[in-house]
Amino acid sequence: MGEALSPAAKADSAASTAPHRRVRHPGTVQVLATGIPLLLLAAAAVAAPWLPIPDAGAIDLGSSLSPPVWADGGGWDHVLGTDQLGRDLGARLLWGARLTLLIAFSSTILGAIVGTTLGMLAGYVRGWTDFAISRVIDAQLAIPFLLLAITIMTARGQSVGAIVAVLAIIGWAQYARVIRSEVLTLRSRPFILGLQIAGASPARIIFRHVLPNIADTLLVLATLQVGYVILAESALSFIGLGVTSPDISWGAMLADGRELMTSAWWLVAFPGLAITLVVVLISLLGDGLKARYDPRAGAR
Amino acid sequence: MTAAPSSNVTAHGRREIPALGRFIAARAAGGLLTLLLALTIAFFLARAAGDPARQMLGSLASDQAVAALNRQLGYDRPLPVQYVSFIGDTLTGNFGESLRYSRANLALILDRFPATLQLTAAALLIAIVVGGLLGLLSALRQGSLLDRIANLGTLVLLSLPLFWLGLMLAELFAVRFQLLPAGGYGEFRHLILPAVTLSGYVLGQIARLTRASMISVLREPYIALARAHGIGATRIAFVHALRNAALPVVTLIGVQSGMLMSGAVTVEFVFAWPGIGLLTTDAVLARDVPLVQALVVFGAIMFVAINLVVDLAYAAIDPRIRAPRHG
Repeated sequence: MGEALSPAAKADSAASTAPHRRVRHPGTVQVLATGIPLLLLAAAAVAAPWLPIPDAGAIDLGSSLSPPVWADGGGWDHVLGTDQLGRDLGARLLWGARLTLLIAFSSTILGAIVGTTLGMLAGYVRGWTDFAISRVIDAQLAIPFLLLAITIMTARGQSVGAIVAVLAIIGWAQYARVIRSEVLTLRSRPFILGLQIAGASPARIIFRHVLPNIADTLLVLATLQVGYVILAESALSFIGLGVTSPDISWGAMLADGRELMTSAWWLVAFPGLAITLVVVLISLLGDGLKARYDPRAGAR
Repeated sequence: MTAAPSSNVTAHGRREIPALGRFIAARAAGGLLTLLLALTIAFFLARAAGDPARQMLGSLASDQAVAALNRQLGYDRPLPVQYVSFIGDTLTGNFGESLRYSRANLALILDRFPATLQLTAAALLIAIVVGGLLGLLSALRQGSLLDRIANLGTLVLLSLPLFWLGLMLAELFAVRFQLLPAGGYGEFRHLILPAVTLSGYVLGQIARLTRASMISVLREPYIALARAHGIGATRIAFVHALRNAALPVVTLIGVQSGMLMSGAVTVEFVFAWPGIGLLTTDAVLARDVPLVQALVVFGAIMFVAINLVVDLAYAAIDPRIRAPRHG
């Protein structure tokens, strides 16, 4: 059992039990082992139009619903099988990754900007500002995310822009909450007091001195958030309120494949596997970043 | 015997019962404030940013029809007026009327509520029992094969779309092996697949938190003392450590109730479970904006209420919480 440990797991367990034997940057291996596949996937998704793969939109009714290569009736033409219109599932997965990842990244960044700004403000200014922002954070977190998304989308209509905005609205409170408490502790450090005495303006202190100090936390948080956003997008698309045809995302593919699942399981199995795999990798990347940047993480 | 100044003053001079009453009142007031703000957020995001009547009627409807529906729903009034009447209606229990069913939204929701309550309660039970046990055993056998499998398993559970898990379980157990029904309601066997599916995410969360919490509690000096007294490992784990390790898990359950409600929407959709989640997806497909809005209000009320109960339960278990803070 002990020999079966992956290098990343080894570094982790060493960090948790014996800090003095810790390698200089625990988590580095894990960051690379998960970050590189994710980067490759993102690169492949961006480059999809120029890759030598079947055309994701090419309709070929002759090879409709052909199963993956290893199943009976499958062939190497369509390694992961085809949908009801004979379109190649593998190619569609890669094209779906484009929108899935685009939505995930943009809404994560948007949510991070709003949430971090409000969180820093609340933690730094304190008093009534903090009270007001904290109450709004609580209120935001009190609305089940899917219900909130549904309210906005039914009233507003569907578009990729609306999906990004909705997911950012769902996500900002998480950043604000964590960053606020981080800044509250940071604020009592002597160097902040020194800057205040030296006459630095609050805006300068917040953006030039507080922000760099919470960057590590923010990076870890945003990484993990990308995973949540991918899951939220898939749920939204699945109930018909997210990405809709002819656009494709992994969630939309699951929604399309559902009706045909009993005759073509691969239409549902592979998009779901893709989501799960990517979110698992993102979680591990987040954990690796935490171990690498947060010295306290090892002690827990 | 001299008359005591007050019968409920403790040795520390603190009035015990009034302190608890104040605690409950403060929490209830905080919950109400949170709820009001949540309703405000939901209202402005839906009304101010959108054009609900246009969404309901579709892009082909005439402008007159849209204007008429706006008038019927009161969406043509100035926003502040709409806001005040929305909050007033909600506080007096008026959740509006569904366009599709022509019935009071609240009646529709309450009709469906028992099914959702049954499903979420079963899911939570599975999550607590299986997740708690998994976390406990992982903590006691750190680094063992079981610990690693549990770690990987919970990671996957936290990373997959719940509705996809439901689809796969339905495919496997209902279509391939024909062991359980993939849809339907009323009998126990109908509950199994939806409840197992819905428990997934929370089960993973509970297992991970229980493990972490157990490990930190087992490092406490009082555990070493118990060990030194010759108390068996099993008794220490279940009697001495678990009680304290369970505290953060209680809070987690409150926080995760929102996750359960969101999960119930897609899981009920997959298994055609006739609860609030299915009502939600039906309302979405019919673009029944008043019903969707009532469902959000209901969801927020449930979340705040559950967390209030969890807070109070927490205070009942852990007296440190209700002690007034100084400074």
